[in-house]
Amino acid sequence: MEKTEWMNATKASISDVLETMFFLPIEFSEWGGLGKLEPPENDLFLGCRLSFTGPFSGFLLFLVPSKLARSLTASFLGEEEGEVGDAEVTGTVKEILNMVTGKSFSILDDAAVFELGLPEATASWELALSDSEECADRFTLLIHTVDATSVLRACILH
Amino acid sequence: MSFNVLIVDDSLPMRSVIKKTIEISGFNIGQFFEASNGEEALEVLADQWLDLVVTDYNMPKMNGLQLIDAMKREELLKTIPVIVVTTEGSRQKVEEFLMKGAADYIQKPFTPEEIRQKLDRLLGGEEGGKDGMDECDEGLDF
Repeated sequence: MEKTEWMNATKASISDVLETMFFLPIEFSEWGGLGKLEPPENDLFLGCRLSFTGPFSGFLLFLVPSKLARSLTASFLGEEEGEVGDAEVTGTVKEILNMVTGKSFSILDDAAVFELGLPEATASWELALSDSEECADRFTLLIHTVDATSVLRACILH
Repeated sequence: MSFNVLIVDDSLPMRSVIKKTIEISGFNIGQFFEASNGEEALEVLADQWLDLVVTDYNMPKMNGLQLIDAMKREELLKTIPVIVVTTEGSRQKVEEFLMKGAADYIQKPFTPEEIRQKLDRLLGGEEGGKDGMDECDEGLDF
C-alpha cells in the first residue's frame, strides 16, 4: 500500500462524507511539512483521534475550528446553531472522523479488514500533532471550506 | 399499523440523524427508542416490543455483531429484523453481518433514500403503514 493511494482514498472519503451528509463543498491542499502548522485564530478548535489496525496500522487526527464544528453539527442535525449542545458538537466531529476513516478503507481496498477504534477527543493542538512524530509515514490534508480550514493528519505506524 | 424502532449507536448525533431520516421516510412509526451500545439495547428489548432494530457495529461494551448474536439466542427477539448502519465496508465484514443474521446493511455515509429503500423492503409498502411518500421526495435536509 502506498501512502499516496491511501491519501487519495481519504480525499474521496472526506468529499463523500461532507457532501452526502453535510452538503458542504470542499477543496483540499496538502501540507508539505515545512514550518509549523498553526492552530485556528483564538486557538478554538475541536480535535479527535481514531486508531486502527489491519494490513497497516496507525491513526487519524481531525482538527476542526470550533465555529465550523458548530455549524457542521447544526447542519447535520437540522437545527439552529444556538440550539446544539457541546456534546452534540463533539459527537459530530467524532462521527465525521469515524465515517471518513471507514470509507477511506473501503475505497482503498474493500477486501481488506480494518478494525477501527473509538474516536477520542483531543484537547491540545500541539500535543495532538506531536503524536505523529513517531509515524513511519504520514500525510496532512488541509480541508478548505468557505470560511475555515480543518486539518486531517494520517499516520502510518507500521 | 405502526412500528416501534430501536436505534443503537454510541454517537448521539448519529442516533438523531437516523431517527429524523426514518421519521421523514413516510413510515408509520409508533415509538423510537435509543441505546448507546448493545448492552443498553438488550435492556430496552427486555422491556419494550420492537419491530425493528437499527444498529451501529463499532460500539463500546457490546458491539453490533454481539448484539445480533444475543438477539438470535432469544426466542422473543430472534425474529426482530436488524439493519446494521456502519462505517465498516469490507466485503468480509458485510458477509459476517448477514451470516450472523442481520436483515440488511447500510454503509455510512448514507442518503435518506438508502434508508427508505431498506425500510421499504423490511417493513413493506401499503402493509407497512407508510403514508406521505411524497414527503421524502422533497428536498431533504439533515
